[in-house]
Amino acid sequence: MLNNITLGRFFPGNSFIHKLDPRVKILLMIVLLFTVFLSANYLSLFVNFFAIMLFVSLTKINLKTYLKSMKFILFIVLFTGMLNIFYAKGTAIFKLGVFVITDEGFNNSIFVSMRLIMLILVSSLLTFTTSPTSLTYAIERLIRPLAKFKIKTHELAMMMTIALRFIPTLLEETDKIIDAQKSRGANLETGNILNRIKSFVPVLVPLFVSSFRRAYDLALAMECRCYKGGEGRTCMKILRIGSNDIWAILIVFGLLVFVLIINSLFPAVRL
Amino acid sequence: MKNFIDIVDLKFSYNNEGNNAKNILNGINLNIKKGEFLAILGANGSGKSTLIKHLNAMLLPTKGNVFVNGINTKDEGKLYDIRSTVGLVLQNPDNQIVASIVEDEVAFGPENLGVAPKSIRERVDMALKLVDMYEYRKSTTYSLSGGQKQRIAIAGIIAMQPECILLDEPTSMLDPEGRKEVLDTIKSLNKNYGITIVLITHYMEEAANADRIAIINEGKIVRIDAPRIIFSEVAFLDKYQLSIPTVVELIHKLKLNGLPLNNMALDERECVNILKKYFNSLE
Amino acid sequence: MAKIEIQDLTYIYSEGTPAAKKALSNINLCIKKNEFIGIIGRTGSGKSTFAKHLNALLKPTEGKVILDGKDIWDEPKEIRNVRFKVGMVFQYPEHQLFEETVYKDIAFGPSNMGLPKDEIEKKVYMACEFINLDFDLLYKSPFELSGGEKRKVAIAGVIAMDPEVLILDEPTAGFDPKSKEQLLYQLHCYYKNRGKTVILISHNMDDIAKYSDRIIVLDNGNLVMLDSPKRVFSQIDLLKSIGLEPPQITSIMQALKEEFPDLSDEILSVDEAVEALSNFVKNR
Repeated sequence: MLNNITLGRFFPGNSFIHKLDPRVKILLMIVLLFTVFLSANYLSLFVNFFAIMLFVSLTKINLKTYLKSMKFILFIVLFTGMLNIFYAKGTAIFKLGVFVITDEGFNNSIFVSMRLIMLILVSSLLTFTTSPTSLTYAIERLIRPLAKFKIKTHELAMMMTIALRFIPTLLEETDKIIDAQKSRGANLETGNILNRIKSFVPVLVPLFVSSFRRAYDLALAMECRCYKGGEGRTCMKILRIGSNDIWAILIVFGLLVFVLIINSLFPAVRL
Repeated sequence: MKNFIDIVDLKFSYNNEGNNAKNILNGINLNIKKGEFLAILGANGSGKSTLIKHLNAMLLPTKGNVFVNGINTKDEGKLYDIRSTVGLVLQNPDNQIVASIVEDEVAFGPENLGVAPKSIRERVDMALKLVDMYEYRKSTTYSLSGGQKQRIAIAGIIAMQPECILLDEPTSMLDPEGRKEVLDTIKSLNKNYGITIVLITHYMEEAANADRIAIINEGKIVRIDAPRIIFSEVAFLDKYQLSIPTVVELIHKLKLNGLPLNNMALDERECVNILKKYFNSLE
Repeated sequence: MAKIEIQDLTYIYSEGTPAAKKALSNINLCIKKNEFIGIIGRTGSGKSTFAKHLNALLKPTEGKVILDGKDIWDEPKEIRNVRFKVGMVFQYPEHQLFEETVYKDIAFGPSNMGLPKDEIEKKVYMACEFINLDFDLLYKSPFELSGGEKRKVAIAGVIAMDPEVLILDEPTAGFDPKSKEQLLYQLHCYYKNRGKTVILISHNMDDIAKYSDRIIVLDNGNLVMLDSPKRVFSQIDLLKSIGLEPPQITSIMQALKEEFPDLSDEILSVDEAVEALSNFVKNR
């Protein structure tokens, strides 16, 4: 049921992007998102899109997979696009009965849709190519300076690791419990919202109970394997910034500068 | 020879605010030798799981003592020495895996112990090869079969370089294939690498592989002996609600029917051989 | 008359996506009223997927599931009635308990059926008696019970709906030998004394051989065999080729037969084997 969603999934691989340091990837993703929002005219938008597509092709993951992750959002893109087309001021460029498309509306919808699409592409670039473990590890490293403010950074990261690890297990369990209660005649599909919420009690209670049972087991297993928090802990995977990372940083910052230059040379599109 | 694990007069009860504290373990004395394969059998609630949690200091005795390599498990300073020497594999393969990627999972133990990154990598590769899961090192733990998950759990312990592995019904949630994979792994670790094994199981066929079987009932060890001897006493097995392996039942009933069979078979091949030998002697 | 008829049943998981996988392909079979059916096959062979079609948890991609002469998907709005007729006990059913008391939990199915109160009460007690559950436990919380008792409560919750067809997926997993025998015997009674159909999915060939009238053998989504235990387990090469083993006693007899061709290998229980072997010795 929930297996079809590609958004946020990790696809193992060995590409240039896969091999980048996850810390670098996270930071570059943030820079890329900035660049997307800084693109103020068609040329910079196009350059930006082209650069992102270049990264996408570098991951060697099928373009279809990216498109599938967008299926989820496509509705929102279309909806906002439509809204912007019809509900904006400006000079009319197209008329059909009551429908009027203005230049501002047109620009607006293109920019909003393109930005949304690029946003999803950029975040997919990160999640598709970075395993949840290295992602959490990178986040742990990036937030480590916060430990000075007495924030338990290791514990936060460990919680994320475990949460990610148990998501598929709990999804599967939910499916099983739903099936079991349906077999006993539970009606989960029809009725008003209040009744529906009530009818999910037979699903939620067992789910909680089993989560606690799993948590107990896991804590036991972790203790058996000498887990004692972040202190004195080492990590098998050492993060090292290599030449690939330098290249990626140069390309992304080059893109940022390029976009800024284009913005200053050409007028911004009126939105 | 010095014993690897010594259990002396072990008594244990959960102290539920002093209300009639019933002993779950009631005076256990047991020695486990280095390199031994010990199976523990007993009905549900007999205290098996409670017993093995004492062997790696997950539980501490209410009375009596447990020594691992001569170290008392009550010695708090040596807690992590004991837990890295004696690892524990649990029943449910889904609940004891911490990481999403196989190699990260196996690295978890050594990382906790503060082992240097380079040598963690070596240990992880070695452990994965031992359980025959090396080619899966980059896979997600979620996508594995039950038997594979249990082998990863075992690898996670091996990477801590233990001398002993405790397994609490590791196969009870697996299908026959998974059960065989895990049992073969356990046997190979014991035979080829001299790792001490303590296995709790419901399956008599698995216990048949052990050097000794300990039968526990109501918190006491009622019997400890070689499988061949224990299996030949069908009435005894029956008394403690243990299942009687098919081969044992067959030979036992044939004997009752007057066939002069002297040996007890532990597995199918032995059983077939005993019968063949007897039939051939008739001619 | 056929209780359940399966016609050209094909099921494809996540159809229309790149992850699409054929889980069942073109299955045709009939299950009679008052029959004890065993289903065997290695993990991933399609046993559970097949079973989920019988009580309408899955809808066939192609083909039909016919219950009492009617396609169960003819009236999708009435699909719950199918689930009341065809009860399903999942693996580790104790994980589905949720009510405050054992009584309420067992009554969940019957009350979904819309039965009057006194009828529900009757069904709950009937189910408890059937599964040998102590009446004292009825007003306890199900979460206070032991593992074995929880399992019994969960099974009672399905029995209380009094289904005409009862499907169970590995119901004895983790049981000690005594409780296991007890439960299997009760299932046998459900079929024998009450004229119901019981479908047992299990990896334990000894149990399947002992109780089934007929056995469904699945491999990779295909129906390989549907026949009596004796016939199924005599096909040793075929079984091995799809990763299954006959009951141990059968394979012992088959090994002996290789050297002593007079012996029968169509043997499914130790007692049969003892008789056959003793006779063999006498005639030597």
